[in-house]
Formats: sequence, C-alpha cells, structure tokens
Amino acid sequence: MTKVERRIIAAGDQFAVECAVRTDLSSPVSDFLDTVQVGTADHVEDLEPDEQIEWFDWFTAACEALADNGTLPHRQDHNQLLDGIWEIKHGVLRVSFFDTDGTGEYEPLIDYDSYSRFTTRPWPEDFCYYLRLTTAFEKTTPKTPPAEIELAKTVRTEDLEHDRQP
Amino acid sequence: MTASRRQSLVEERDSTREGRLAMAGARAAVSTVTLINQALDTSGLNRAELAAILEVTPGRVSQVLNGDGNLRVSTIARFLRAAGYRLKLTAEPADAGIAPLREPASRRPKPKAAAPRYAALYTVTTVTDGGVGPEPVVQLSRSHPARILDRPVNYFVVLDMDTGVVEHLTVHEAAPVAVPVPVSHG
Repeated sequence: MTKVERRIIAAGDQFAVECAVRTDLSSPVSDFLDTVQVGTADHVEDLEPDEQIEWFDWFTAACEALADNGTLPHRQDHNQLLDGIWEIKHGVLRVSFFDTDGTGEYEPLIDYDSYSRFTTRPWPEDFCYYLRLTTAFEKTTPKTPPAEIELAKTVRTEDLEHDRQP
Repeated sequence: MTASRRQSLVEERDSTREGRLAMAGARAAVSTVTLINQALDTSGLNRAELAAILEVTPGRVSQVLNGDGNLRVSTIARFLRAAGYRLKLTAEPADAGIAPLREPASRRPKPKAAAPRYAALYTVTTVTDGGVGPEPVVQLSRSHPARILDRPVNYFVVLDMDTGVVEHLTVHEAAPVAVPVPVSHG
C-alpha cells in the first residue's frame, strides 16, 4: 500500500473536504460525483438527470462554504449516523463522511447516544481539519440502512490505513 | 494545517465558463439558505411563528429553510422581512480586470438652513390704505389681478415657509412676471 492522493472537493481555512480512498484505490464518492455531475447516476431513482446536476452543483458549493466558513448552510444539513460516521444531507441524497487529522488516527468526537439526544443536531466545532467523504446513497427509508453505515466504516478503515503508510 | 495544492473540484469547476456559471447559481443558493437560517435563528422566531407571519404552511417554511428548489428573490425578501431583516443585494467583480460597479450619481445634499427662505411672485388683491401703521395692509393671492391704490402691480414676497412670516416685500408697477424669483439662502 502506498500513499495516495485523494480527490479534493474544496479546501479552505476551516476544512479540506476530500474523497476517501479504499485499499484498491477506488473512491466511492469520487465515482458517484462523476456520474451525478452529468446526470447519469443510475442508482439514484428519484432524481431526474437535471435534478442530479443541480444537486451536484449545490453539493460542491456547500462543500466550499463548509471548507471556508466551517459550517453547512443549515443545521439540519448534517447528522451523525453512528460511531463517528456523519452525513451531509440535501434532498434525497446523503454523503457520509468522517473527520481525521491526517495521521491515520481516528476517534469519534461524540458518542452516538449522546448526540442523538440533541434536538438541534449541533455541528461539532472541534472536527479535525480533514473531512473525508466515504459513501453516497439515496435515502429511501426513514432510517439509514445499516449496510450503508457499515460500508462507510469499512471505507474509513481502509482510507486511514493509507495515512499510516510511511 | 493546509491541504495540498492539487486542484480541487471547486477550482476545477471555476476553470470553465460552464462551471463558473453553474457554481455562481449554486453559491447563491447556498448563501441564500445560510442567510435565511441565520436570520431566523437570530430573530428568535420558530418555524411555526414564521409560517404564521408569512401566512404559509410550516411545510413551505421547511422547504425554504432546507433550500429545496429555486427561490424567487421576492420570496427571499419576504422571509427575511418576516424575521425582521431587509434584503440588501450587492455585486462585486468576480474576474480580474472587471471594474467595481459604479455608485449611482447622488444629488448634492442640501444645506441644512435653520429656516429655508423662498421667493415667490404674488399679486395683491386688496389694499387698505391708512390701516395700522404707515405700511399698507395687503392680502396676497396668486390668482387675481393686483391693484394697489387702483394701480396694477407685481408684488414680490420673501417669506419664511416654516412660519409664514413675510420678511420682505417689493412692489413694482410693471408688467406681470410669470416665474418665481429665486433668492440665495441665508
């Protein structure tokens, strides 16, 4: 395994938003963005091609605002799914992410049970600088499918391993 | 800590005309949603109260606050006004070599005199000779022929428009003058 170059969505004073990379060097979110940018994401059933493109533009601009200002436009644009896996929400699409200092270490800022008791879903002010996007999916049920969260955790584990390489 | 200087997706989008235009719209949408949410948070109103003021459903308020769909400028202004704020639009150069917007030409501010004075042309309609004091007593009208002691005249008056006090009178035995006479202040 070698050091990888992750695709950067936006980099600013507050955060660098990047696409996490798996062991095989694939990047689920980078691949997803490539398809939704041109309206051809085939596993997004509820969005027409022009709506996908509109979503892509919003997501890119929202990541830029996040990198520059430290927050998303609206306090309900994010949520913690489980064990330090968070999600950016807009419309029917979700993009999961985690934060890291870039050294390969990771520790959740706040446990899920404590966070779920907040009614206003605070945005943690002490997120590390790197926000790594792990997976993207369409929210079709009230609760996020456990498989999506497990996949995000797997991508996180594999991505952090790249940082530990000498 | 800083990210490496590889090109980001944002920079990539900004490097083409199509991408710049798309990002301009998306940035405006993101900024608008941020602004409306900030206004609502700062106002102390909750969504139900905002909906009541705007006479819309709570669902519509949620839709706007979540940034679902395109918003009209008038809708943005109404939401902000309901929260106690006034929308202010501005634009700045986005490209090198583009000049800042010119400020609109403004009128010179008027001097703040304590009591503005004006000159106006009046005609005298009646005169009572031998009234109180040595001066004739006159009544002023713009619409009737002027006569003082049976002679047609023009009658100029400088008066304080705040108090209505006549400060200066001039009577001319001359042809009628049709325009007001400007005077300098002070």
